[in-house]
Amino acid sequence: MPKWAQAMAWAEAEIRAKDQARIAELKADPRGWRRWWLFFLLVGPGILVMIADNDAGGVITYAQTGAGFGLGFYLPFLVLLGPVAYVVQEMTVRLGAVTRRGHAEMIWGRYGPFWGAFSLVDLVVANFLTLVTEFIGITLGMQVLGVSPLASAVGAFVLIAVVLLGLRYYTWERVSLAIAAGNLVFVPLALMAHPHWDAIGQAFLHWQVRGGFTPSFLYVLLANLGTTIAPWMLFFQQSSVVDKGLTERDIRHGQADTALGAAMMVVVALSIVVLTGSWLYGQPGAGQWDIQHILAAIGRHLGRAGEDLFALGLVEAGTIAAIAITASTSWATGEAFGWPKSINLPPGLAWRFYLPGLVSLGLAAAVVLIPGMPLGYLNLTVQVIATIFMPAAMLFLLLLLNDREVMGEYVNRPWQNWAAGLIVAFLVAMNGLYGLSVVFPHQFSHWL
Amino acid sequence: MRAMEHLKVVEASSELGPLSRAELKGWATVAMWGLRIYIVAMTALVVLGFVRGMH
Repeated sequence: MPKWAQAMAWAEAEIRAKDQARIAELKADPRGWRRWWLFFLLVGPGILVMIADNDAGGVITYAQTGAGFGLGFYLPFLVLLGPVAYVVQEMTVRLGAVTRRGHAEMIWGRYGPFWGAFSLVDLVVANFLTLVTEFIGITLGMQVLGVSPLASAVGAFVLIAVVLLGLRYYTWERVSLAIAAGNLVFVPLALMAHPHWDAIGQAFLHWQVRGGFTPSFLYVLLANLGTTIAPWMLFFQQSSVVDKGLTERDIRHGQADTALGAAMMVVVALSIVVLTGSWLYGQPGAGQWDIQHILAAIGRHLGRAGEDLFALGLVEAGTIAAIAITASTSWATGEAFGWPKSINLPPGLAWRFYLPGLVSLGLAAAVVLIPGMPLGYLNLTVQVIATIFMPAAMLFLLLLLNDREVMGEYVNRPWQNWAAGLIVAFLVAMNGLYGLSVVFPHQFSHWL
Repeated sequence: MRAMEHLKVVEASSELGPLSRAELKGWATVAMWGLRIYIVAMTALVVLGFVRGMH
């Protein structure tokens, strides 16, 4: 092993040993407050991935869903998406804890360079385009708060780069969790709007699609599904579990962390749909409103404070997702090429690890500032790539979770395979239907 | 202090060995072929969609 690699291995080992010692000490006598402290130390990747999943694009999607379709179908649907996200993400916890390798490394190692490269290229491209949408959210939100797009894009880039380069994994995770807490701003915002509790109850009692299965309904359905389970989430959480140093003994905590994160994700998503579904649904043209229209309408109903809070939530959503996606790109590239890959490593030694994430972050910040850039087209491309890629990423996850050679006693149970298989089948069917509705719109509406 | 040194050594020496290629059998082979067909079909739909969208 070259000297520099040895130095890096020791630097990382020292940091990780300290973390392990702290956990071991608490595990030796997990009573009273120590049990909660242990839980607090072990949670992180699950909450982070789920909250980051309510990203700027997600916030916009939920807001448009409420404005366009009201409360009827989507409130129960979003509640159902919580267990879906849990089933998918829990598998990454077990895979990461048992193998101590990231998702990209596992695909590359077990299924060869073709599928490894396919997954990596898809992930890096989709991550870059998703980062562009995060910067759109950040600059839009900051504009409402009176900050220019240039200042907000540069500010966000600097903040994310400093957090990634300057902190070791544990502190990076805690700072990210603190930023993620801002996602909960949508809960008081929904309450400020005095939602119609009767209508919310009715939505759960009479689950129905208003207006039928039209292509626009399918589009919104897929967008909601796409914002709940995305390829980067699989890669992110598995790498995060590995970098945190979780092992088989920590799986239970990882599962609780993921369940807590899924619950928080659903609560925030419901709040946004309740907010716009209660007040904006039914207004002329609300189904076609973009986020600026929605922000202005929220301002008219809740006043300046309501509009500013929503804008702040949008900025937070973009920022936390950009933090997670930047790390995901760096981890996946490091895993694929066998580079040292840990946020614990100093940037001077592990510059190759940090570079891919930071380059895509910088490019995304720059793209948003280019005047006349077709941002809507970019957003569509993100969805297309993620749509095609998600069943592929899920299939590799399922194959790995059934690989006894890799997972030993931690392989999937039959119900987990059934649940994950149903999710993949649903994704493939919905994607296929949506593809057909775009290519053959007239025939499609005739069939329905 | 000694425990810390021990943990450090354990961490530093816990380098993972190379992964061996998985042997695909049964439903896994079928699923992989399904994936290939899905990717080709979706790519064709996307290309068709973009070409039609341009007119």
